[in-house]
Amino acid sequence: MKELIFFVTTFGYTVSLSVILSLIAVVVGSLLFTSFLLTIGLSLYRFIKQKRQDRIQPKLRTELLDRLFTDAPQWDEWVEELTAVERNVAESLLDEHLRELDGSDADTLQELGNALGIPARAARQLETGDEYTRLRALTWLTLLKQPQPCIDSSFEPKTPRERASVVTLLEETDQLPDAATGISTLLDGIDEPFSVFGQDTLYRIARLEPEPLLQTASEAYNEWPEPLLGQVLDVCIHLETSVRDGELAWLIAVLETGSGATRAGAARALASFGWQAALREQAFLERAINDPSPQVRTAVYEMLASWGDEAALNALYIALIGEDNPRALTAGTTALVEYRDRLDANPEVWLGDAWVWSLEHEAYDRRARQTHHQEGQT
Amino acid sequence: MTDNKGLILVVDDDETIRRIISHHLEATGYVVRICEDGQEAADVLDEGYEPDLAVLDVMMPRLNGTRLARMIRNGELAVRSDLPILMLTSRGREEHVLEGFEAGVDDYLTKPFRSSELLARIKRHAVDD
Repeated sequence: MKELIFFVTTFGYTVSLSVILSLIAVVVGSLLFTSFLLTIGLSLYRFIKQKRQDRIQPKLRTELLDRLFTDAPQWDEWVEELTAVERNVAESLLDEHLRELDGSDADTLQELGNALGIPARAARQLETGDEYTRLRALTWLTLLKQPQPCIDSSFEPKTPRERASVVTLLEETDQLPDAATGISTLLDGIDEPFSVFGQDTLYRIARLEPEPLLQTASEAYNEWPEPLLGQVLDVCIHLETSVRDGELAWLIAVLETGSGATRAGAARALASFGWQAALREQAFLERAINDPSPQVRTAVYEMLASWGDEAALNALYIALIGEDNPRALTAGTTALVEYRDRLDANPEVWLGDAWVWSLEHEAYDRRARQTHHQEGQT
Repeated sequence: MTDNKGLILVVDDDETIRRIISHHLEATGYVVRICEDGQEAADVLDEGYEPDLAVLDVMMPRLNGTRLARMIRNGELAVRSDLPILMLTSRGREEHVLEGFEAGVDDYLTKPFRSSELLARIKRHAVDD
């Protein structure tokens, strides 16, 4: 086989390709070996550190609980005696216990947080840390019920997770002036969806007072990415509150112009807000029951059934007669079954097997619930 | 040395909760036996252990607290069926309180809790008993 030659003209001499490949193999092999050694070394270091922490944890836990349940815990004195590793373990124990205890026990533990210098460290981390570090700092301040380092800092929450953490901190420590401030911190200028924690925070704040959320949504809903709009709609669905007519115009707009999922979400939100007189005067209902998506029509049928007034039930009945999607039809008849005593005509004639199925399903469901309830009492 | 005020069975799958409760109760003079889930507690009770009161968490692997309470009340275990039971429930899970009372528990405490409140409730039911 003919040997391949590689010319290195800069230095004026030649090197065969096999030598070059061998050198590359040696370099790559060395890097892999180094990486392997580093991984093993790091794992070993973490293992030893964890073992050491596990070994001292029972003793520290006992000491912590002994001091916690005395009148004068003297945390400063205790912390001074601790080594760096022991302080780490004490912090981790503090974290665990703060989540389980309340009242004076939690107050006493919060003093341990001060003795460990956690609030001061959190204040520094808010100014200089990366997002994860800042979130950890905010979590500590929430656990220790100390909002002041956050209030005094120049830190401005930007990501959805930071926004939710700051609002939770202020709410948990009674420093949130009102729901409008919370909604503004959560949603002003946001362009990403929340985590589950963030969505829960949004829900908790909107439950305090729904108007700021609805007002913000009416102004900004068309700038939000679809996942965020979906989350806001989910929150609206679960608010279980009544609102003024004008604040729902954006929901009607979403129902008419959004994607399939958001149109269905808007219908469910409208259902949760109950019967709205102003909606009767608009032609949107007719367009909604003729929506091209069966998923949206299903949500609209459930919305009409949840309103439950005569006009809504008539609209639902007529819509179901013309429904050709089996799933949407059975969802609609299942929603309508609850009001069967208020229907003049015989629905079975017009709605056929779907109506019969829904009646049987409702009877079976009722019997199953009764049986479950009786079992629970025995 | 503190006097023995009574035997308390603590059943919780959360180690921190178990440690807090047992430490506080033992410091007050109770003798505490710990189980990590409902099934372990059912086995212990079926083997003849007779506590003066049981503290049960609701959400546990293998056998949850509500089911264990129901087994005790129904006489399915070798322990007196009127054993005082204190249920630990999580904040925001009020349905567990209703299920617990339906199952026959005597009292409940919401987590996070105050150790003084736990002690007061234990004293009340253990003494009443």
